[in-house]
Amino acid sequence: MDVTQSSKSPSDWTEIDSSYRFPTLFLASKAVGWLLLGSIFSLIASIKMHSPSFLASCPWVTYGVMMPAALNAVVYGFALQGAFAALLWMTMRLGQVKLVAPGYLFIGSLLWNIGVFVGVVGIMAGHSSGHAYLEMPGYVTPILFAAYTLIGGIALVTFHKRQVRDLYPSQWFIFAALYWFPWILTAASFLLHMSPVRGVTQAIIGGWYASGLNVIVLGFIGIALIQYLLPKLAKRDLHNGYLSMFAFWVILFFGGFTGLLPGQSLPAWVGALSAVCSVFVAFAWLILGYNIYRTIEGASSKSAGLGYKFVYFSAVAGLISALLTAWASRVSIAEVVQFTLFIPGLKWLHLYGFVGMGLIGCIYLFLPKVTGTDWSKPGQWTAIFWTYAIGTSLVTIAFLVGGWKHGKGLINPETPFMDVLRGGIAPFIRMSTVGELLVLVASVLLVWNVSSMFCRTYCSCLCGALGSIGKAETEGDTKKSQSKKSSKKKS
Amino acid sequence: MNQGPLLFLGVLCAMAASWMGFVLMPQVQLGNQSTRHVKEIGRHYPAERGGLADKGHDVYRAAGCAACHTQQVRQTGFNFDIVLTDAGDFTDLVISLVKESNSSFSDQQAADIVANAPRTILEAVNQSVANSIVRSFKDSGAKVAANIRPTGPDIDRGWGPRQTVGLDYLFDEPILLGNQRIGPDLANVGSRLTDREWHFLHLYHPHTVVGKSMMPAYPYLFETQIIGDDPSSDALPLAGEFAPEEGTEVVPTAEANVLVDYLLSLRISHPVFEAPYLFTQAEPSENNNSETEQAE
Repeated sequence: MDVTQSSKSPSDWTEIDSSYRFPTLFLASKAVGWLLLGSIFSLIASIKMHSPSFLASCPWVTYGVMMPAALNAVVYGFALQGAFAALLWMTMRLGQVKLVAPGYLFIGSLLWNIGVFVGVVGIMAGHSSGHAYLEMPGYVTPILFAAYTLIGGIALVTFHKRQVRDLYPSQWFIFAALYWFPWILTAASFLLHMSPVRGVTQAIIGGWYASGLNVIVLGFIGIALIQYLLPKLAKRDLHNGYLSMFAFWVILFFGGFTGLLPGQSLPAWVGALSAVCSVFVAFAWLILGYNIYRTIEGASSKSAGLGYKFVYFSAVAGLISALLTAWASRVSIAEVVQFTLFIPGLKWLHLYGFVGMGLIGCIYLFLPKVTGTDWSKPGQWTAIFWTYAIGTSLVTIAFLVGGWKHGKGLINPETPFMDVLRGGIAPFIRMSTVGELLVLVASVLLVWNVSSMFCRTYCSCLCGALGSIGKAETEGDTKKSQSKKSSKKKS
Repeated sequence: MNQGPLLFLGVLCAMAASWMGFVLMPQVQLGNQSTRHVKEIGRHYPAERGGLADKGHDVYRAAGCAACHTQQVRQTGFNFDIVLTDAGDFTDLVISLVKESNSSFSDQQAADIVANAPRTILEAVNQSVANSIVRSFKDSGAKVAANIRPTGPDIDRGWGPRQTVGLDYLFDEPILLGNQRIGPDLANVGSRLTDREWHFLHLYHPHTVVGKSMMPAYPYLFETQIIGDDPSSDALPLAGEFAPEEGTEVVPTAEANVLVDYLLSLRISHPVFEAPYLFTQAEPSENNNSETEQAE
């Protein structure tokens, strides 16, 4: 079991990293842009919860439209797009291989963004499909699938061409996520949009898609980032590869069955199976957590830098999210938390706390490497970390605690429904609005920093290109003569 | 684990297992579900929604109503009401049995019950108690019935007489179960709130009918028009702060009309095989007003 990340000479890294410069700048800057848009939508939705008349006259921004628009912008625009950027970088770094076909990757990412844009506008225009996590209208799926074929295909070819044949644990997770996503996307889209199944089977397939997307696709990229970055930043080797392997197979086999709470109007075995599988996944997470803990035990977080804090936060959020999901799937607990704010609380913890935090940390760490320039204002990144971390924690705590109170009120028929809302959850909703405002501030800073790096890199590249036009011919000649020499040597 | 093909095989197996579990199995179990004859209502259930209500389903989906409203009634259990349906010929024996079953009855009360059957002897008892009572009456010549009564907070809130089951959603495309209760459950709203005008007022501005409602207003489902020679019969009776400018009236658009059609079509007002309960034809209509005030 190979748990060391082999090192290479810096000159090679530059070559590998620079092959990835423009596609990743594109992916990362668009990802944070979608995060900003998603945060704006969430904030509007959150404000509507306590002032229902806010923007009431426009059908494009009702609460029921803003919520799915925000979710889809964040899941497809930010999380998945950021995950593509992260997984490509990890594949190249761990395999010590240059990116293949950066041009096609660029086309794929462009197509992906067009797809998400059409989808989010479609939701706002009232074409929402009504299935959670797959609200984007059915006509968007082919665009997303085509875009993914390019992006995922390039990732797989790059993976296949790796120079280091031994696989590091993060690579298993990336590999599985790469296959899982197109599979669930096509299966769910076919059975829900194109040739819809009937009745509650739709709800089960919708739940299957959502859990596959969250636990396996996004979750695996998050885990891959944690297992790659934390040992690297702490300058250690991963404690035990077999523990990672165990967790990998357990989550892979059981993760796709989680997320459907017992007690809904579905066949009883669905909820029961889902509950058992959530416990298995939580167990695997405990093992992952132990493995990471033993790896970084005693490492100083100060010397590891800000990136370490991002990834550490992500790991803790991922662990708590898995444990809470398992806890909430117990019948006695599910009875309380079902249909309450607790469920969006879990969603925030997973999506923003675990996946989002890991991706932002990854962007912070790898963009300077692939562009070869440092962040111009590192102080702003400290601000991003704290505003995002506090904002996400506030929203999560508000929804989890408020959701528990919400549920306790709902299961007590003596409490009038209006008291459950007005007295029970209204203060927590106000708290979550503050948190969402902080996340919005963090995403504004994030967009500012990433886009300024984007501009700087393009400008310097453009200047470099203009300056080198004169030299191009002579360089071309020397290259030709070099290649002739090398071919002679080979023969 | 350094071999790509082996890893791929493992991932493929996992994908297949997950697909079989949550896609194939539910389809095998429920894919052939079809309408069923329910003897209590004397017709097949569920019936396909009419064209207008179907359009209303679309409005409901597009506006994202399911973000705040579920359409699922949960049931935590059930208990039984014991009813003496027929006293039979052995009055003295039956009176003593009634007293045995419910010790709070005096001799006079027990005699009244037997004389005026059908009457309820015991309310809300569990299955074993119900069984033993029914058995005790077995050889007395009297007939007793144990009527199933679903229990649970949702049912106590009056959101529905029984739990919702898969059959209820057979014609929902897409299915909009909802997973948040920022507003009340709507699975049975068509039986709970039958007044069309109430729904229009509620959609136009919830505070016209429910003072503390958190629901947003949907003014874009209505049109404000100048009152012509004869006022529209559909105009909303708005007064006070909600009244439109003088000389104008507020009328529902086609969208509002079909949405209300859809809401009124949401009913789970009779038992099905999976969720039985004692069905009485008389729907409580006088309760409507108090419920209206409670509902959002």
